[in-house]
Amino acid sequence: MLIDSLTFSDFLVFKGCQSLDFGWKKDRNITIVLAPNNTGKTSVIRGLKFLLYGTKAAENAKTYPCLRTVAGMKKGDTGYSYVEATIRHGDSKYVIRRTITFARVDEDSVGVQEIGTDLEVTLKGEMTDRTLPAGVTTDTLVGNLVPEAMFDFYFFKGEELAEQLLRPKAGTRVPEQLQKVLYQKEWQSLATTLDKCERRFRSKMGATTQEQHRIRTLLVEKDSTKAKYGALMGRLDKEKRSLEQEKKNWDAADQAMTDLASRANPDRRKEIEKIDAQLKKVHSRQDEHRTSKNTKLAKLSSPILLTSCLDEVADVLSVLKEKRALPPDISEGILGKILDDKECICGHEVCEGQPSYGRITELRRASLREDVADDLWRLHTIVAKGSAGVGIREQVVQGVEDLRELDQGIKEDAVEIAQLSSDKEVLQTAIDENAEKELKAQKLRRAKAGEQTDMLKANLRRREQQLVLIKDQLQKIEYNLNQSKAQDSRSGRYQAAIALSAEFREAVGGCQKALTRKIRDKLAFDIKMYDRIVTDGSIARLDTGSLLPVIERSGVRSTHTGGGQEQVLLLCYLVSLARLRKEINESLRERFKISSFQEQGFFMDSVFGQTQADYKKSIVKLLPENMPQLVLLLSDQQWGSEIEEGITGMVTNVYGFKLHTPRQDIEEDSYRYQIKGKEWNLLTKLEVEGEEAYTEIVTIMRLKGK
Amino acid sequence: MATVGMPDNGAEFFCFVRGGIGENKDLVLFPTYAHLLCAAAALGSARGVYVDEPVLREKDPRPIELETFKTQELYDLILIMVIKYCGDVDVVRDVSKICANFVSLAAGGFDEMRAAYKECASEHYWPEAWENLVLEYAPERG
Repeated sequence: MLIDSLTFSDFLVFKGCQSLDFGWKKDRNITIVLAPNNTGKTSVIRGLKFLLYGTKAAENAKTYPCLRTVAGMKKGDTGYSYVEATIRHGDSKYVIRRTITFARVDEDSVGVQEIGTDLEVTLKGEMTDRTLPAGVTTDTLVGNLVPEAMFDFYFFKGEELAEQLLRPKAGTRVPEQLQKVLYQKEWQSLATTLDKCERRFRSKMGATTQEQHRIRTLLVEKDSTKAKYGALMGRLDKEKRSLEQEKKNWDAADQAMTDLASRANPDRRKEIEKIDAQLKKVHSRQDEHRTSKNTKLAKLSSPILLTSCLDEVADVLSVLKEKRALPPDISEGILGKILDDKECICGHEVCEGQPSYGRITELRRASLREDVADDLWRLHTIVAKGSAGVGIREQVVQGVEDLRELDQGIKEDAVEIAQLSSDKEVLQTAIDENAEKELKAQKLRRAKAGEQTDMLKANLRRREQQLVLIKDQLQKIEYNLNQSKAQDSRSGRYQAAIALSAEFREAVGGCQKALTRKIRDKLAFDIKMYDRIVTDGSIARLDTGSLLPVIERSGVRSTHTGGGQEQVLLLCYLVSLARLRKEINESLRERFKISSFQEQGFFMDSVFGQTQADYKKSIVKLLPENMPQLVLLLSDQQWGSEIEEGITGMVTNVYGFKLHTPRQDIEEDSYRYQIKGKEWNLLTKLEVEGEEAYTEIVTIMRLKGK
Repeated sequence: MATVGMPDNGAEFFCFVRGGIGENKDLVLFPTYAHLLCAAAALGSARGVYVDEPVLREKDPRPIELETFKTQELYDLILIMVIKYCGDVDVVRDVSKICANFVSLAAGGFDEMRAAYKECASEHYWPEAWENLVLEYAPERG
């Protein structure tokens, strides 16, 4: 992370809106801020910390609003302060502003109402909207730019860092911090990611093994289906050929049938059919005649047979006219009356000698039982020759006539039948019976052939359906096979990925070990710079167990260093760390093409302390080449020509923090700086006593262009 | 109720009766047993043949009630035959006599029929033979 500019607005000692621009280049990467004691050097670091982490890691936020500004507010008035930075991180550019909205509660205190963060991100030169991915807040994003644990390394005050590095409380602090410098977390995260990838790839590999098994099964299935398809095709061709042959046979048979039909003379056959129909009709009529005749005969048999007896019976019945025929109880007187009467029993007067009906009735009533008399008189009626009414004779005569007619009809029918039969015979003789027989046989054969053809056609249809099904099946298999093959080809890629991840893991592990070794060696080596820097014969080395520096002077080994030694060692440490970081970054970029480990700028707040001028000179020469960006916050005691000379040609901008204070007892010399032969006064005494002091940022030198 | 028994010698002709025992449907000549009995009696009467106290069947077929003949309009013919046979109208006074005379004539007729039937090559020739036999007694036309 490199910082382009930093702006304070009514923040801590900075009244109003004031900016520091850290324009930097590869060969010019140092910005110097000359700030006498109590003018705001540490305020810069505090502001940066507040910007990155909010109030989480900073002091009480209500101390942040500029007192000078608050003094100008009335009770209940609200105001706001902010810190804004333009930051470069890789290809991205962030503009971050963290604001405190506050209100003046009473004369001495300020109440914070709200702390807000604005973020503007430009990725690869393009502005993005402010919508962050799910689960990512502005604070998270900003806070992750620099790990909080590393903040003191990058933006530090000498004293605080010395506490961490040179006087660790539990003896573990240094290695712990160094591990962070070595991107231990990143390595672990990388290894975890690799593990995850490998597990995923392996599970995919498992799936693809199943896929391979499936491919083998599918191939077998495909082969067998193809064989089935081929066999079916063969059968289909054969059957098609059979059908074609059958069709040819049909055509030949049709032709033969036409010939035969012409010889068989179908017209005569039709005539014969007509005669047959006629014959059937006549036979039916004859049967009807016979039935009628039989019925009639059945009824007439007895009357006919009795015809010859009728006269005889009539004679017997004629005794009815005579007295003797009457029962003995009938008196002659009555009979005489009957005989004298001229009225006939039939109601006719002309029937001579017949007893009158009335008299006979009378007689009957007198002599015979009623039913017998009825019977007798009925008989008389039906047997009497020439009597009125329908007698048996008439019935028989008529019936016999009918019988004869029916018989005649039957005979005529027989004649007609004979004629028709004769005609039929004539026609049948005219027909070529052989041809007809042949035609019949041919028709039979044709019908059978038709059945055969139908069967063949049905077979063909079934076969074609089977083929369609098998074709579908083949297509499905082919599709599945392609899918499986694609899956299988992916398995190759998975395998390659597993191999690569294994290689990568090995490389990562190797690199990690190498870097750990290297940092120890490097730190040990760089700490020896102390030997080149110091002039008092001390020997410095690094304790490999704790990574703490050890100083030996005059044979005395000590881990408790003096003030000057401490400062120098700290600087050595920092330079070494900066170098290491630079080297690790380069190594990572080169080896793994990882670009997420970005360049890191350093702020150094009062690091030189009371170090001797020689030390300062030696150290300051090492700084620019090891740090991509360096902001040196220096007080009057730390500034001197040796520093100015050491970094000549590397400086971009120089700023001064000018103090405006009501205090009148301040020594003005501490606020005077000689820069390139020109003197700068960074103090203004305010005339009104009790007024709040504030700092004004003064630009002393600014490099033109970028 | 008076009944008329079927003479046993008529059994050969049951097959010519509709619904008769051993009926030959193609050769049916008589619609009922009553008609057969009446035809046989008529033949007996025409030829003046009879059998005194003939053997009568008690079943197959059962004796026919006289009333049945009346329903079939055959009773008058029976009376004619009986009067002719007895030569006296007084016979009509006695129903049992009527029946006895009637079956005697029928049995005689059956004998005649059997004689004619024997001359037929098969039963199929009987209808025609019967027809000829009957028509011998038919009055001349005109």
